Amino acid sequence: MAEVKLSNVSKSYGNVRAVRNMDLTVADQEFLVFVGPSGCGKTTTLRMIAGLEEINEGDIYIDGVRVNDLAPRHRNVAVVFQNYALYPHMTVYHNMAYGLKRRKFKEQEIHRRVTEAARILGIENFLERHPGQLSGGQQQRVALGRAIVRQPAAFLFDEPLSALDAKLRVLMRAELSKLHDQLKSTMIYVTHDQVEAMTMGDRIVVMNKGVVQQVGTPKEVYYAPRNLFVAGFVGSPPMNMATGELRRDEAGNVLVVTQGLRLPLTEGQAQRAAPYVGMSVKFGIRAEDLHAEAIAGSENFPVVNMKVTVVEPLGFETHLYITNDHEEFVARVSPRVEPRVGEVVPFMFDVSKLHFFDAGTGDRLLI
Amino acid sequence: MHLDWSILWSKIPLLAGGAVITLEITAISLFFGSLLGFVLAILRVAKVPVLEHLAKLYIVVMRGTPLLVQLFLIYFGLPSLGLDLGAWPSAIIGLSMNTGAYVSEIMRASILSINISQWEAGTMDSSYFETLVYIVLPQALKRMIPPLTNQFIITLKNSSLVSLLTIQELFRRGEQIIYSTFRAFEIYTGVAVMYLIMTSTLGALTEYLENRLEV
Ligand SMILES: Nc1ncnc2c1ncn2[C@@H]1O[C@H](COP(=O)(O)OP(=O)(O)OP(=O)(O)O)[C@@H](O)[C@H]1O
Ligand SMILES: [Mg+2]
Repeated sequence: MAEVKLSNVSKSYGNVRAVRNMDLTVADQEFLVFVGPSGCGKTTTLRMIAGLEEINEGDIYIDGVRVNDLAPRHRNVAVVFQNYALYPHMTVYHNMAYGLKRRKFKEQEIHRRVTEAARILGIENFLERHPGQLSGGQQQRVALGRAIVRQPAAFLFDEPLSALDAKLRVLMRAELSKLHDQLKSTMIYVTHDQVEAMTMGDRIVVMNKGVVQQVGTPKEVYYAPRNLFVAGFVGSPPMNMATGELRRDEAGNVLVVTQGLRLPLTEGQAQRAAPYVGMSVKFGIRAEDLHAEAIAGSENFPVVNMKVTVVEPLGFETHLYITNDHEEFVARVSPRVEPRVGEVVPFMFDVSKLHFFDAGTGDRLLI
Repeated sequence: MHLDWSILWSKIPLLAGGAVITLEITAISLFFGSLLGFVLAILRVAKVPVLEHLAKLYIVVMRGTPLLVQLFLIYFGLPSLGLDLGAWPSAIIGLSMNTGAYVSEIMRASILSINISQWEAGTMDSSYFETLVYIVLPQALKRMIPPLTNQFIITLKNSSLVSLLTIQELFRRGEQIIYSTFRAFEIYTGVAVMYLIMTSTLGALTEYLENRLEV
């Protein structure tokens, strides 16, 4: 149970800067998830914490102890590898017992911990098997068990569910969350699966090109993305984006205007937007904030006629690709809405949910 | 021209005695050769400073020169430096040193063929050498059995060269019998069959061992 702290940590491979000046504190007992596109440095970060990768710059502290020069086995962290890395020549029992054995635990204590972990994970019946005789899901549990028995200060997971089929992934996702509640230990989890990040993380770290873009709760990164990258990366379908200008009309209202849209802002937004009037901005709106059906308060939403180009019924909801000949958006609507392709449908824009970004830097504007 | 196999039958006890010596020399050389090969492989895999490069150099030299030249250097050459080892030690040292170079390459390749994540998982829980011993080597061992068997068979056959150091092993016994009987075809055939029996027994033995390790 420990706090993990990275202070100005950097890592390069030749001239590839895998991780740049990372400052991050993972609180004791926190479930922290790293997300980001392929190659953004998630695995590298995890491996630096584990000690499998040397760091070029900065310091890493686990439980207040600087671990830069500590061998992996002395860092009191356990890794669950993406490919599990189970030992094929050992039984499940010995796979789990190995770390304890090497640390000179008493045979009795090893047995107690292994059987306890096996019980929690539901693999008691496989203890005498070899990994090759297990299904992917069972191997995954053994990999977890190997980490659990150590009772480490922190668990490090590198896309542990990516090798499982979709159904099992959903199941294990819930089990991992449960496990976290049970074990109350710090967990650092790498994934590029958005759903995993949103559902499992106490906080999410969004990375891009080796740089931390935002650290926040799932709600924070979803509802208040700090920049264009986060806005575009988090959420599926991704946030609708457009470029426009903030203008004030004769009546004193503030609008965001594009070639095809004139969206009046709410009073509160208008006040906050005052310093930016006359400027070009990027703005975004999530697919669920474009309404085809009336909701509470939608009588105040500006209405825009949009042509439907693609209909994607997903069963529990439908995604509509819509256009006004200048912008293309995706709207997430109820399956009751069943427009034909080519049909023009009036959409109510919940402008209070607009996100504004500086067109130059991409940083979020507080509007 | 007719063949007289009865001469071969009568000489079988003599040849068999030679085969025993061949087996002795081979077994001892394989033992020391494997030991040497293991050490050389570990020096290179673990990248031990300086020694790693010396090991590499050693392997290049041993693989790049004929075994016969190596044996003669030891047996006929060293005495002029005041080091007269005698036939048996020379034979065993030469064969061991030569085999060791090849064995080390086989072992190194097998060790390197083990997925890096096994090393990484191991080092999360144990030192480099513990990881090598408990995690990597047991897996590598299984993979090295077929190529090692091959090498052991080569060494067994190569041991015929030590006949030139006056050792009374299978091939030399055969030659001597031919000098006195002039029955080259029958005797060489007998010698060949005896080598074949030894090499195929060795092959069958290691295959059995490999299957035992299968689980
Ligand atoms: N051993 C290595 N040698 C050279 N470059 C490396 C090495 N490991 C990683 N990199 C580079 O460092 C960058 C970050 O890689 P990293 O594996 O951390 O990405 P990631 O976020 O885990 O991606 P993914 O989602 O694909 O697993 C990439 O550009 C990658 O090519
Ligand atoms: Mg990765």
